[in-house]
Amino acid sequence: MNAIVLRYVTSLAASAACLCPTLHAEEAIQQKAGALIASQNVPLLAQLCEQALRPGAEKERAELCKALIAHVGREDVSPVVKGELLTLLGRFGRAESVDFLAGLLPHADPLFHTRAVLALQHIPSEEAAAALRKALAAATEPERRAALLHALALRGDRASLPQFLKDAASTSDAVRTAALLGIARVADEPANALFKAGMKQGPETARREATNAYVLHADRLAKVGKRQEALSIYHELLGEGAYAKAAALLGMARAGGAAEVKAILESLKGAERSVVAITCDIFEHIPKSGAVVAAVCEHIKTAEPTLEVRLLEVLARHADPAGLATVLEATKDANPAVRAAAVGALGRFDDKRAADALVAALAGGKDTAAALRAVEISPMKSALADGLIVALPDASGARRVPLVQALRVCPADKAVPVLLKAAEDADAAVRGEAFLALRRVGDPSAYPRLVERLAEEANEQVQSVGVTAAAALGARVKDPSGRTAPVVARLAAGGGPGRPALLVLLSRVATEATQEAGLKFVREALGAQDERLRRAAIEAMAAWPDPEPVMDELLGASKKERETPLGVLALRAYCRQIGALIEKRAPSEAAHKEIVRRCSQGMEIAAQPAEKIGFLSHLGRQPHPDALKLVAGHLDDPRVKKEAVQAAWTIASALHKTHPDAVRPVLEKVRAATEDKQWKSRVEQLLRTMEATK
Amino acid sequence: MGQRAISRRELLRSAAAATATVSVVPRHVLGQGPMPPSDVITSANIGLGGVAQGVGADRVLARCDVRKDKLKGYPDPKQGRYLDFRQVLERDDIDAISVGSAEQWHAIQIVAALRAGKDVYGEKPMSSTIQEAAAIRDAAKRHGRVYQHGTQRTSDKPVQFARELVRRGELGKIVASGVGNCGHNELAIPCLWPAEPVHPDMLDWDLWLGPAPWRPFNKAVMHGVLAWHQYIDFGRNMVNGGAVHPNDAVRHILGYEREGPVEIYPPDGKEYKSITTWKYADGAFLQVGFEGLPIPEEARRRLGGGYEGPYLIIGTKGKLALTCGAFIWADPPGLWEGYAEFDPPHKLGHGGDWRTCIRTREKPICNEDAAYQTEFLCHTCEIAQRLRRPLKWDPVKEEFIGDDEANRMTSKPYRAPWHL
Repeated sequence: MNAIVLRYVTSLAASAACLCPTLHAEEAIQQKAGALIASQNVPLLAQLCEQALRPGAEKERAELCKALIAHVGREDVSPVVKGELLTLLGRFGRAESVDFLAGLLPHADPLFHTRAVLALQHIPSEEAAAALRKALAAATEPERRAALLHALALRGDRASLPQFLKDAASTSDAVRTAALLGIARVADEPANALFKAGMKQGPETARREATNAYVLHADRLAKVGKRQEALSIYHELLGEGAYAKAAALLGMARAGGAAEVKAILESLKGAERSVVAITCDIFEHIPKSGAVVAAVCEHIKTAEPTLEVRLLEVLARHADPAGLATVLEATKDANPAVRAAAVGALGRFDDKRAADALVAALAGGKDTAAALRAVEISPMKSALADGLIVALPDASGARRVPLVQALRVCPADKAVPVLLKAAEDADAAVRGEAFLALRRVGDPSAYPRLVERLAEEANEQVQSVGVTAAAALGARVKDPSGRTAPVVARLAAGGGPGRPALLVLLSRVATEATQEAGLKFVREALGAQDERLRRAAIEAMAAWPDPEPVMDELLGASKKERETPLGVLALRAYCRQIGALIEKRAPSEAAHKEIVRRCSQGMEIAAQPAEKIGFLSHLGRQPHPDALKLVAGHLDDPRVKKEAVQAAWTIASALHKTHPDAVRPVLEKVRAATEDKQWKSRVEQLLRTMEATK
Repeated sequence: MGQRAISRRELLRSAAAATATVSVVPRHVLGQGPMPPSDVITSANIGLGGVAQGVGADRVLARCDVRKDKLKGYPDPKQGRYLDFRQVLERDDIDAISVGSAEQWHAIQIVAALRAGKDVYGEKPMSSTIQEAAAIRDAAKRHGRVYQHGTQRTSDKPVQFARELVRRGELGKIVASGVGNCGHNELAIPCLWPAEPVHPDMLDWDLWLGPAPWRPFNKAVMHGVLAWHQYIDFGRNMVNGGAVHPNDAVRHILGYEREGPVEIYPPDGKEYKSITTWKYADGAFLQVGFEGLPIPEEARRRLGGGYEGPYLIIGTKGKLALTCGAFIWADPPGLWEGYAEFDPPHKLGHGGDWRTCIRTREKPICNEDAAYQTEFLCHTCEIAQRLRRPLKWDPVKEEFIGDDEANRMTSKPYRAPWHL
């Protein structure tokens, strides 16, 4: 900890009383501020000032500022603290601080004169602006003049306009630049000649500043109602490079609206890519009208593809029926980017023709990504559903996929029956998409049929998607027993080829209260001949809502199928459920002991470091001597040493006061085992602490 | 100025078009050949100490830092090494800029780069006041540039998936949300380091300070972001520097890209216990921490704080808790089904997303609007804590309603010649 922070912390307690809001008398405020400055506790002084900004405390705030002023003049206050006091005056001062700050403007030390300028720039009182103007009148040195003009410009001081206009012709780049900024921020009358001259004078930096100030000047003129004057500047700026052109076009849209549309469209023709890219932003500023749509439709015929794409987006945002014919025409364009933009635009139109075109695009297998995005936002969902339902039977295998995908955003009453049928399709891809769509659009009433369908599914990939879909629908069934009942019933009836999927589904939909009915099927499957069923049982047990009834089975399976993939899977599932058990149980001696016992059993079987690491991680969360002992046994194993060190350290940190004799030898072992300097240092620190408190 | 009318890339493109019949063969015809010069996006790094140093476009042509030791060689424009960022912005052959300087510089350099026609990656926090955040947003729009705010967390897949769930309405109407504490209550303080001699070969101290109030040199101030950001002249400490990460992610999940809160509450010990509570016009609220939010105690125990969240979203149909890296809890439990198949819209990482958008001219995930809203959360969190009173914000006028002192805190003064 550095000296200043330390001083701050130690004086904090002593100074805490200073924040007591009951002491408001002038003398008390002076005393408080004086004490804080003497102890260099400027952070707390700043808090005191903040507290004085509360309503009704104006007198207190002014007194505090007077105290700050008094201390800036004292010999015993360090320059750095004085600088901070000036900044506090800028943050909290008002009229009472101005004369003092103005007196510092000619100061030779930049710590004082620059902070005084900044404080006067930020103090909202008119007196502060007047002080800056007065100082400007007396300043001769260009650097000082520029700083004062700059402060007045950033204040937006309208009374300084005559001086800004005068100094805008200065030969000093700094003075001229500050003055142009001032004009741009406050002038309500055009001063074009000054900016144009500035754009040709001095180094590139100064010329760029002048151009940017000219944009700002035009913006302000437009804001105060001088739209024609502003527009003439924007038109001039069209020839000043892409960055100024973009700003000019946006300005034209804002100031001129629909009247500028033709000029804007002409300027966009052949414009730089970065300018064309903001076409939509430009049109956002123009009120929507039929005339704008007509102009865009006319212009689109001769636009190059990059601009055509953006203009189609403009038509989409208008969603005016008058623009639909142009969009529909563009869906047949040879350029894929144009076609995709047109198809995407269809989603904005509340018109059956747009819905029909989207269905045609999906059924035709062209631009399907754009069509699916459009379907998502289309206001024509019901018409879309009708079209999709008609198109589906006629479409061939792969062509059915996007049609089914589109149904996921259609009204459930129309989409769900079709999707349930599609889930029986001969094509696995269609079935998979149907399950995914049902996941989104399906309602609880479809859940039992979806379970039935899943029971008949033989394809493992589709089963996996089906489990996801059924679990999502099951979650929407309000009664928890209604989620497990259809699955249990189907399992009892034999299950079908999708039996493994049903077992996994059980683990997703069962709760602690409803688990019992399904548990026997999962246990049975664990002993089945069919490896797929055994795997599904392990997967189900890994995610089972209650760890306790399945842990012994998982441990047994990992022993039985030792060193096979299923055995490893079972051991990992066991480890996962130990984690769930830790979350479930409130910390207690018995709970810690049980976790340690289970971890010990798991580690006996674990052959791979990955599994051991999992158990070590759980052990690290058990503040118990048995856990520490078990972890210590793995400090010599190079494959898991890092995790063992971490776990040992966590346990030792929790136990070093209550079980020092158990902790000390383990810490010494950790120190010897680790090569990491940080760990060594931490361990040594803890050992020293233990030694000191012996 | 007429010389700046066409940028390098545009010049190369038009030249290529003029001679297309003889010299340009599309890359797909040639196979995986070298990128044509007109497609190469060039960039420069301003500030060489932080993570933004690693963000660049196809070719990094220049590196700039006021610290000569960071430049790894004396300033030499021919070698692409600069002390003054303005010289970098004058180069027409540079398309994009990554700003990772000290925090007092961020907004000014970002705005200057946007005005100079560069696409910008702005390291977080991009601003130290609401006015600065708004200036960045407005400059990006005014000049049609691609801007990415370097907050990182929104590029993580779980965050984008959660956004998708909210967008699809799977949680219903969002009514409440919480974000883990990431230094939201750690405010910047005055800097009292004494004067030290500065070695002339080390840096240009006046340029390091830039728009900040002048103060004598002390090397402790420059010891990386965690040094300078705690001082109010240079940064805003963790309330912005740290909290900006989770604030950005939760804002993204909630979908507030152009809408900000209209009421801000500091803790009052009664109704509002959190460090800050933000209320939106649609009635939803966001708070720091999770106290009082209707979730089971078992789930609450698993919610901590830090750079990666967590975030808790409560809707009329569902509740979801997650971090940037994982889902923690959901009600109903199946909410994050489909995560594995989810294809995030911004999947190339934060820098990759920026580079892609420079080409496509689309909006990156943390574009100027999103960035403004995120930093607005940070700044209002600070102002409400400093003033210890509820604040009301007018999003049209962009000012606090009836509170002069709060409005004064929305901006700060700048040393000449620097301005937004």
